[in-house]
Amino acid sequence: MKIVSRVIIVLLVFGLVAGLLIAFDSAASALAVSVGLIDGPRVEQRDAGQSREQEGTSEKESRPQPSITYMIKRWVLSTGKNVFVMAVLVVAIVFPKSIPKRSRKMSRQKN
Amino acid sequence: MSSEVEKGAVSQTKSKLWVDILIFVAFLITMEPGLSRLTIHEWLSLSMIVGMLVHLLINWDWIIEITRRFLGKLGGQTRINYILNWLLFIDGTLLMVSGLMISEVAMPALGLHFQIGDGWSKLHDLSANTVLILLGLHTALHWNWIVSTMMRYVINPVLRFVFHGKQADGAV
Repeated sequence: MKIVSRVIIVLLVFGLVAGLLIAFDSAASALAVSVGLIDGPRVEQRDAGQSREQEGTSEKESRPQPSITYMIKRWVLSTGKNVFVMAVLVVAIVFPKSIPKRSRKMSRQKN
Repeated sequence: MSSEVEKGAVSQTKSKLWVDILIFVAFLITMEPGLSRLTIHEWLSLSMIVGMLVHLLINWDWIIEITRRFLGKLGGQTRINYILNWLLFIDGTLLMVSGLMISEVAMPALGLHFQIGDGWSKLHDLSANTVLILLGLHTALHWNWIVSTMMRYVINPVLRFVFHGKQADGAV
């Protein structure tokens, strides 16, 4: 019961934040359109029954499929890039914090 | 009695670690939608909601305690950590909502179709990049916990298993 109520609280907060974001986005885009900063939404004309997925599949069919090794290499590289970005942030925060500790240790060892 | 409490704390720390590892791996996979295929990207992202829920439930006591004490006396790092967690939650929600709006597989499969402009797609990219940075900061602030828990529950048991196994083999 305790867990269920906590899950409901988290989902409510999630819904509230999501609602606020959608409302903010709608208001901002409506304001931008009325001021003339951006054009209004483009309504795409589609044939009845034609979905975005079907368009995607026809596009995919015409495109040559890359090999699996190429896909794996690209995935490793781009995941490595994401990990690298996080690692830079970790080092930038953790390393300066560890300097005073190290200097204290060093001075204690000297004494 | 105290050993039971200790066991409970150990199992909670272990489950915290494994949930966090799962969320991190899922995040890395979903960050490359072009390579992990759109179907995997969308359904894995949706299932990450459950992972995030579990993560929040495990850390519930900390969240409640810091929310109560936020306006009172609180350490600087804890305060920064709390604000950063809220930013991560808001940005994660934005990422999820914009993802649902531009969904091409999961939402149509559930019978939901949204008419949207290019804005949500750009917002999705922007919020994904922001989540990466916020997650880096979140990791940095919890680095000591990550290192000590990984050493205790993953690296040391593996090393013990490998070396103990070798010693046992040598004895035979």
